[in-house]
Amino acid sequence: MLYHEFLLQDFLNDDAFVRWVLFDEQDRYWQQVLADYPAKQEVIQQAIQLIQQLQQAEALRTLPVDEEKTWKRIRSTTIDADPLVGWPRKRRWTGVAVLCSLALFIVVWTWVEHFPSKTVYAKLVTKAAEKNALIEKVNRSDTPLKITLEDGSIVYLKKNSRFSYPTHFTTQSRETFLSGEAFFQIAPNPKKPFYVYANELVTQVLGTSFDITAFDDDQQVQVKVRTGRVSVYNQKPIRFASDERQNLVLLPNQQVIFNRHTESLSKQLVAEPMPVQPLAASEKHYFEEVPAATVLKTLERRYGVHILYDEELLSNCIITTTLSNQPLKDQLEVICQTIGATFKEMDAQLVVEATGCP
Amino acid sequence: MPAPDSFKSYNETVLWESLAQGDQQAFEILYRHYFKILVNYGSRLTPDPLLLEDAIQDLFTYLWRRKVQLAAVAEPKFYLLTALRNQLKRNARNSIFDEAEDIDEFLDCLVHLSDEQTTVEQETVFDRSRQIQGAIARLSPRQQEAVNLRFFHGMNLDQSSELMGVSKQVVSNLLFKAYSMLRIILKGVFSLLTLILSPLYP
Repeated sequence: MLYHEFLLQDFLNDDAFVRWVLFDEQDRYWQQVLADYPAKQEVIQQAIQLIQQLQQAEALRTLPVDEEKTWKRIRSTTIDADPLVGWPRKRRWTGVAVLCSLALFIVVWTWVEHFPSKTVYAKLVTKAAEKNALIEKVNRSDTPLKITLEDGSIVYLKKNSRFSYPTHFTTQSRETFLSGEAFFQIAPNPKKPFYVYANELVTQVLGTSFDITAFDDDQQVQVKVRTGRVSVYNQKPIRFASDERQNLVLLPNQQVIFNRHTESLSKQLVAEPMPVQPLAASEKHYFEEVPAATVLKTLERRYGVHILYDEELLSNCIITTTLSNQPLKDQLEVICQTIGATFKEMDAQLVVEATGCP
Repeated sequence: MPAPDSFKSYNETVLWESLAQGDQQAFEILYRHYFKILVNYGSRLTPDPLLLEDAIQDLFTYLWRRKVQLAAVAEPKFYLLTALRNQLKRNARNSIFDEAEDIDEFLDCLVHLSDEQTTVEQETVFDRSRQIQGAIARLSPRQQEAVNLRFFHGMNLDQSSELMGVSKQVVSNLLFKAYSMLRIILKGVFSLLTLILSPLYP
């Protein structure tokens, strides 16, 4: 390094020089520089003095933080917190304990807060039992419990669920009560509607098959229709006469979800719509060079799901395809790809968004 | 408690390696050595001793938890200063970290200082280090930090710029402004300083 041209500023900007003044690093080198550049001795002395003054001033400009007190605080959270088995383990256990008590607290709180509104089943059963003797079935096993009712309807009661029904139905209606999950196959009888009270939802049918999921502690109540028509509504406050205000009619492959928190009903398609009836031998399932709309109409019929599309836009879209027993959405996906369209679900219907074909 | 000078009798690399093994004494020796350094730098970052104490405790608690990984730290002092800065930043939202250096503020400050000069010149009692301390205290927080890192902790330009999260050019500018202000503040107080600081950027 050549120091002939160095001014005070340059020495202040020289990292090695500063570290020499502060920490005596490379002392021999800088002693040599002092010896080699006698003309620079004065400016070097000034630089040293300035740096030392700044260092001293800086050393004094410090907040009053107590070394011992801080050390005690650090010890208490480090060394002293180390049990013989090792600090992380202890930490983990306290963490687990905190989590457990938190979880317990939440459980108790939810219990206290929501239990009255959620044991709708217990209340309903108590109330209904005053009028009519009820039979209660409980299934704790993994295999569904088959229950055959007086009218020939069959209920498959799933795990951890209870179902109550009268020994004899009244002359006007068939009222039953569910807590948990069950699949229903209802014997048709237009004169005696069949009701399932499950939490806040009432499902009313004439003759059909459907699933209900309504556990006491679930946030949702779900009704899925396999065949027939089902109407679902919110029963609130508890009463047995049908309240049709919040009433939804469900068709096959549709489901309704009742959010117990917001008390809202929403209708959607089931996750995997199934053909309403198995593919009949007579029904056409191979399509060659036909308008896309023709295939969509066939799908609509087979799955009982409404498919919306712009007929004019699709008028030029000619496709060749084979329908199978694959899930509806998979088949629709294939068709949409062929005609450069997309589809989405909206209000339990499928909407095909196309740009048209050339 | 280890002897006050025990840090010097060890190779620092060995101390960090011992800490990685869970050596409590090494932990304390490192704490005792770095405490004043950290308090000093932390004093440029927050005016609140309690905040600083908290940050130092948090920092060492973190070190003890992560001790296994620490043996590989190449420059412990730079690492610790960086960690302290980050800790303070996490703990407090209202200190110097968001302040940008404003050139107008700087110029206003210079004008203001020149006006005050007359009174300073009339003072007859000179307490050198106190005058310099007072002068540094007049700098902007970020200028103070740059001066502190360079002339107390001996950080180079690269380290300072990384620590402060700004470019090297910004650090140079901060230092240059600091020199200029010190020259004006200390003019007439120390003839020597006036003499030596005047030929800056000739």
